[in-house]
Amino acid sequence: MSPNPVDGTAETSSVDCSCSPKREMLHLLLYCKDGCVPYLNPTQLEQYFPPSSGLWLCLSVQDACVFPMFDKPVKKKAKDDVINKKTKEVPAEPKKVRGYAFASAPPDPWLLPYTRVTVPYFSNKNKEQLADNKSICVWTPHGRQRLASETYAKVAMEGLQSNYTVSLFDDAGVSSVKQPDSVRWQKAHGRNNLWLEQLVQVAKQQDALDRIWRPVFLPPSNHDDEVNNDAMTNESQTGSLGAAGVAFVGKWRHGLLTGNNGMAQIPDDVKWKCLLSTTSLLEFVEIAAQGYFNIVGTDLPALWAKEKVALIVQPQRGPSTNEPTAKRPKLDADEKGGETDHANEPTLDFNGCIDMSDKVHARDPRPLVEGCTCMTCQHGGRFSRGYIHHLVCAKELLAEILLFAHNLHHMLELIRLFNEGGSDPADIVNTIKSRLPNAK
Amino acid sequence: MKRKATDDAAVVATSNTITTATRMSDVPSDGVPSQQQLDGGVSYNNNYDPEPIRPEWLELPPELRSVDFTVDGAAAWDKYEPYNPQRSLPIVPIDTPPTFSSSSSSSSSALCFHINGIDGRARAATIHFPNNGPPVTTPRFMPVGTKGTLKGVLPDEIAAMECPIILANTYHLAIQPGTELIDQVFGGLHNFMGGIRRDTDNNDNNNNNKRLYNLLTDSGGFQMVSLAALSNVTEKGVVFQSPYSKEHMLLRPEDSIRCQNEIGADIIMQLDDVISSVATNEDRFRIATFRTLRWYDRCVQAHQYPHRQNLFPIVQGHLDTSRGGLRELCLAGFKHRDQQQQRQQQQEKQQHRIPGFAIGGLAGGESKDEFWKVVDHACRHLPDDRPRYLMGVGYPLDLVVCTALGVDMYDCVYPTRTARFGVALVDEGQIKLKQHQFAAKNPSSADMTINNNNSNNNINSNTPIDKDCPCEACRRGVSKERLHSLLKANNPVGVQLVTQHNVTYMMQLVTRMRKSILERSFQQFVQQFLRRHFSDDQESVPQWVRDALQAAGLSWKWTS
Repeated sequence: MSPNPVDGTAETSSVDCSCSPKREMLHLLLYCKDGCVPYLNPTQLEQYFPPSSGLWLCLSVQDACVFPMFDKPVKKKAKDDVINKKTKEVPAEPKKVRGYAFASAPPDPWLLPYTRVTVPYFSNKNKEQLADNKSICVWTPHGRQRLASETYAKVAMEGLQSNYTVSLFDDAGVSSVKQPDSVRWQKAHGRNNLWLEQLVQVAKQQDALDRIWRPVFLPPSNHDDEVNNDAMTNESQTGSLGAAGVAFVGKWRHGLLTGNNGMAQIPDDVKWKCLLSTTSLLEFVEIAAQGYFNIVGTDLPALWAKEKVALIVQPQRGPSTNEPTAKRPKLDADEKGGETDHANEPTLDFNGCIDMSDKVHARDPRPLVEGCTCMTCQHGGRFSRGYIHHLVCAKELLAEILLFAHNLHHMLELIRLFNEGGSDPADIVNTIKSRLPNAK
Repeated sequence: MKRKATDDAAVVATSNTITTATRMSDVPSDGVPSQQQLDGGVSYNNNYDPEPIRPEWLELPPELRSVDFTVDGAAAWDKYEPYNPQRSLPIVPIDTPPTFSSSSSSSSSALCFHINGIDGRARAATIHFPNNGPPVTTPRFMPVGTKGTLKGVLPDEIAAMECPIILANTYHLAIQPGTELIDQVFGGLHNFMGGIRRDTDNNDNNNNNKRLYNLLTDSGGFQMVSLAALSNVTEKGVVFQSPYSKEHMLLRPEDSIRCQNEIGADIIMQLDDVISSVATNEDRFRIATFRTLRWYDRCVQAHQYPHRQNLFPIVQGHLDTSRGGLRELCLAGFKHRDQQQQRQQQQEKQQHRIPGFAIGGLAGGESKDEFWKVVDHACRHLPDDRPRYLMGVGYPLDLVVCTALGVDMYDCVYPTRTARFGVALVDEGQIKLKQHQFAAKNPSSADMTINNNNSNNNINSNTPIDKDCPCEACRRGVSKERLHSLLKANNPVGVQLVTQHNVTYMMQLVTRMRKSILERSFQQFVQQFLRRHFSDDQESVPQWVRDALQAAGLSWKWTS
């Protein structure tokens, strides 16, 4: 047990850190929609989030490799040709898109120094996956398209040329609240194994077997435990088929690493254990603290930027001067810009973020987080809360850019904190939890 | 200009006409608003009447009655070469440090203007401000950062694109977040925008805050007339309806200057009486011309910081460039005021002369033929030893032609706005990146084809927009295909990259113009530009371009 750093009371850690005695370096896997890092141009990316920052990039075929198709050329007869009886082929102008298809697309050159992971999709809106043994329906920016397993293998391995590729999978609605149909689950399981085998064959031909990750599904909490255990056991018994890593799909919950379930039986020689998606800050830090996964995927920095919120909660060793706690020191009233109304402090949401559209920020000259070295807060807070609030009210793109850079920096700082090993991971989680409203 | 429908015919008053008011039940009985009602910022009963025309508004101002407009150049300042070959323009070497003293003829206390070279009527100059900001070289295009930001571009990136000055809109900033807040809480717009780099390594504590760029603010007059659902110009100021609170507000010249003082820009503009250049009411134009002079006087009176903010007057007068016409009347009015200020300067030993001039009333739909003639007329009359700023002009071709006529500074939303529609600027014209021809080839489809027959566009879609462009996108080799896919997916990175390209293109254009002027090869530059812009087809060069360049003493024809 470790003392709570806020009020000194003892608190039992609720995070299970017993699964992996040796912690590996943790990495953050950032979802890159359309095959590019959100909001940041190449120079900003290199300057503020170099490859050494622990940032990995997740590219999905779903939106990075879909292209329009156009009409083929139409043969036309020119006027003169009627006399000469010659047919002149006139290329048709590609005015109308005939459809969309998946095709190979090389990654942007400035992404090459980063470790990249290719997935078929980051999220699929289908409640019911329309899939057969050869293909699966995927929601792309241009509507629903059918992605064949062979096309995926080619596009992912030869096109995007990522460091690691997750094989095509049918998640059979693991994110659905309904109990999966056991027939559908079994069919999906069979398909996934088939597609994994296909990808492994392609990888063997290219001597790239160490680039393949297999997907493993995390069953929802409302599903029958017996069904879950059977499924997980099934996954682990099938094994990784030589894959270098495992990508867990679905929502993490406590208890999945205990007992006799299949996750604990994933072979030790599987080097990479990745949770593809996390949906809240607490989930992110709890998973990072466990030490089982060495890659944690998320889309939170971009989502928060789009929602115009900024992550400010920190697991610092002392209380932060920016967080709206009761023990905030009062600012000097004579200080230029010291006009923050302490009676109307912004409130934290359950992710430890403040809403920058809140009017309380309008006259606040402080940075988002004092002492933060991100692109937004550096140099003593060049971009103040007041300015970011103005940008949000004015619906300016720069607001999202600044918020994304700050949020991503903060999450990478959390990763760095876990990797440093200076603090007990459970302490870090408990500190953050204590600062979040309504955290369980 | 769109206006909302209203049940009250009297309230539907455009800035082009003065109509007889229909009295409303809560309008004062004498039809004249009370002093309290007309003082700036006070709502005017949610209704207002157009002001009846007063005869004195149409009369020649007293200071102009003694001017003999039959004499050639009556409204012109003393000119230098090439307008007056007997008087040489003082040329200053490029790296000459600025002086901001009253004894210098080329400077005021807040602006120093050095002409570094001329080629015909085109000038290459440097404008210095006493604010630790970068010097502004001319010809200069100023991108518009409407609401205190340049559409997804960071201040460091603005500086990296070699953009030493940008424009901000007083109207938008006064509404959101409010200029008082910008001043009181953040110490001005430079600070607010993060446009100041604090050099913590510099031991000189007095000089460790470096401005990444300078700022120019407009008065807000144009936005009120063009954006506000309901606006009416009165002698006091412009009555308009706030788009947020729906209250009727009055913006006087004093209020505009107060807002601009609070913003803290390096160059501020007078509030002028803005009328669309395609309107037809001659009396209204006359009223607007003289009112612009009177409002300038009020702006000068209200201006609190003449020693650090340069107030530019705006030359109006519709499109009337006849001798003794409205443009000459306006110019003569400003000339009189300038001479008055210089006499005052000699007495008080302080800089009072007008630091620079803006040419307004254009870029509002008039014909190009009328457009260039007004610019030509203004440049022939305005002083040569001060910057000339043409407002609202931003097409590359217009910049080249007007630089040839003698203009120094430009501003327009065109490059940044068109970027958001996926249009990239090049010397040849525009590249509409969202068009299908820039979509990537789909090798899995045998039916895929790309139209390569359009010679007006660079259809080589797997290459950057311009291989010689130093912008982020072109330098990194981002292909047109890639930009097309990002734009079609509504990815913000696509818009950012095209915006940066367009701004960089405009910066490069003015830099190339400047270089050619300094090397006395501006003629060749113009010919090369026209050749590329019109695809080597001399027949397609518009008549107005030919006439304008001829008036500037340049040949528009190129040799193949």
